Amino acid sequence: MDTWHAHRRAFWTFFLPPTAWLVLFFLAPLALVWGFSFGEKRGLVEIAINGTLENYVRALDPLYLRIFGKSFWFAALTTLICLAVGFPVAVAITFAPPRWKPILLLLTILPFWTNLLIRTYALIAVLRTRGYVNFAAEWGWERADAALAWVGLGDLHLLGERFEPLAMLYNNTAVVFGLVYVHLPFMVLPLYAALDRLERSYLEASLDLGASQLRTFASVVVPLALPGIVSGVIITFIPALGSFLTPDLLGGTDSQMIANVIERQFKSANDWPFGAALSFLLMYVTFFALALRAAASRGRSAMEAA
Amino acid sequence: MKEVRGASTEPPIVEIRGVTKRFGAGRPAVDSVDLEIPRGELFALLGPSGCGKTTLLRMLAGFETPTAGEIRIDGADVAGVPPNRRPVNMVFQSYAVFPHMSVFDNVAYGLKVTGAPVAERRERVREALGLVRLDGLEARKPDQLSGGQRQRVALARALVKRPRVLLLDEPLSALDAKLREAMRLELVNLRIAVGITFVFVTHDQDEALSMADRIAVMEHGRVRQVADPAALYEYPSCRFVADFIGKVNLFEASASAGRDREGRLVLEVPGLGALPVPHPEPVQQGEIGLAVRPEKLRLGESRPDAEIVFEATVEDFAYYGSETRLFLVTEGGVRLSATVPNTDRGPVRIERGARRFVSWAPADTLVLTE
Repeated sequence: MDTWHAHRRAFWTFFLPPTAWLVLFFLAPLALVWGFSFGEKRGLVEIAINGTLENYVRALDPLYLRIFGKSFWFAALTTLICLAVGFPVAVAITFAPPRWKPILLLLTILPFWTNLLIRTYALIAVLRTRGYVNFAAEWGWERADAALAWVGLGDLHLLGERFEPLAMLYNNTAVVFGLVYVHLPFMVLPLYAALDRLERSYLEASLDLGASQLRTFASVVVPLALPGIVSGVIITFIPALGSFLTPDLLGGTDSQMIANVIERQFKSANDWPFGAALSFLLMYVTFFALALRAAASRGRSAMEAA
Repeated sequence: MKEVRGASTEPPIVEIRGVTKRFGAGRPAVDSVDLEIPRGELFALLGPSGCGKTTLLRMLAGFETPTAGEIRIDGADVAGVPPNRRPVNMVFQSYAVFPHMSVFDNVAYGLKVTGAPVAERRERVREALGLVRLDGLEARKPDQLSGGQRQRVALARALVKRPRVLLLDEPLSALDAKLREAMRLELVNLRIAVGITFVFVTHDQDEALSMADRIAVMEHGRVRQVADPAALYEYPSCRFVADFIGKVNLFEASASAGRDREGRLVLEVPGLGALPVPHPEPVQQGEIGLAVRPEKLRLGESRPDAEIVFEATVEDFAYYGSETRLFLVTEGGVRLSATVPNTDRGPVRIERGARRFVSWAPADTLVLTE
């Protein structure tokens, strides 16, 4: 690292293009949208940036706050379920025989090889009224009903007159289910990374000192995997909070999330300033969460250094 | 295998009967081992890496399950007993001191998880930390401790449980040389202070010899010899033990010329001729090895009045401060190494190519039939 001072030209040659790229195509549009959020719609495509806070005031209307709240609730629930489901998966991969590990990791990231839209439609095919889950449930119902008839209880119709398909689509449950399905790998991978680094002798020492498996998990595994848990929670929560495809395709009329509202502002409503304000509200909250995490980890390392 | 039994009439604290451990196909990691460890001993499992000593220790702790055989700790068969229910505790090679807990919490952990009352916990932790001389460091986190201090935390954490047997996996290997030397004596004294049986694994023969009451030497998963340090060094049972413990001159006898008038065995060694050895036990013809420790060799500038004496040329020498090691070749072409203590100050009075008379007493010759 000491040589780039000596080779200034080489340094700038390598440093400039990516910087220019980021400034031009990431920071500049972002700044533009940020500007829009303080603007006013004047015509079909004309926006005057006049420093008004009206868009933010509108965004804090209870109608939108409720959608914000619902988005947070969905994202939090998704994160929690991902953590509960992902932890055992990560533990299983960590303790799997070495030759199975790459295969299991590959299976974890395999969904990324398919477009999200296609995966979501596949989920619809599984969950809809005439979908695979209901086919299986119906088959099970018919067998159970036939068994009841065979033992002479057929006339009582203990399982109902006919099979009632489960309504698994176009409601809030479907949205959370879809979000969990999409975001699970984001949780599993950082958890796996943290658990894989964990020295086995800590677990053995805990068992050796008389702790049960469960106690070892709670007192040793979880605290030592905490950085991985925090990373997993953050990189699950943030994209889950901004999801729009999943609630759009799997949700019902009352399950739209904030990203759906934002999308509508930019597209059908053609109200870019308001959409920009909503976007940036979401971003401020995300930044705040990241700042909290940074402060927490700084606090922890300061505590350890003390 | 020759086993020197302890004088104690109490039943041994650890009994290992026919224990074998296989990991997959191939040679077993531990191969039909029988061992008895009496109460209150500092017992060493010694051997080169891969000899199965750590696997055997881990079977005592309960981290590995024997493929065959039986392990009894304090009279009770421990088959199927998980590590957290065994009356033993372990000091890990890496110490495995929990990095997210203070020294106090580390030592208290084993008491906390078994539900010891807070007051008792505090008292026993204080006592254990005193024992390993870590008083005053209760609030420290492990990353604020030196390697030696971390090891003491690991020791205190295990001892606070008052185990029937304390297991130590290469306890000194992570320390630097000076500290290691000091910790040897400290561990021995600690064992005496707590009166608990210590079983430790080491690949370092000096460590085993200087610390242990008795040593089991292992090779390829088998126990080759169990003896106290002096017996192991002076009366090794086989070529492997003779060679592994300390340094040795090993010769292969080509034939036995029978016994002389004093009843000593006379063995023909190529290049050295007939050597008399006191060895009352009968021996099979062939495959007999002879061994002499380098420090048993006497060197002189004039021919001494000795039964076994050879004229040899100094091929090389190495100065070690307290002693000088010489590498000699006899006129018959046999290589010998000799250790001479540097009892006098002053320059080393030896040079390459010098002629010396090498002699040793017949009683210092070991007969190795394995």
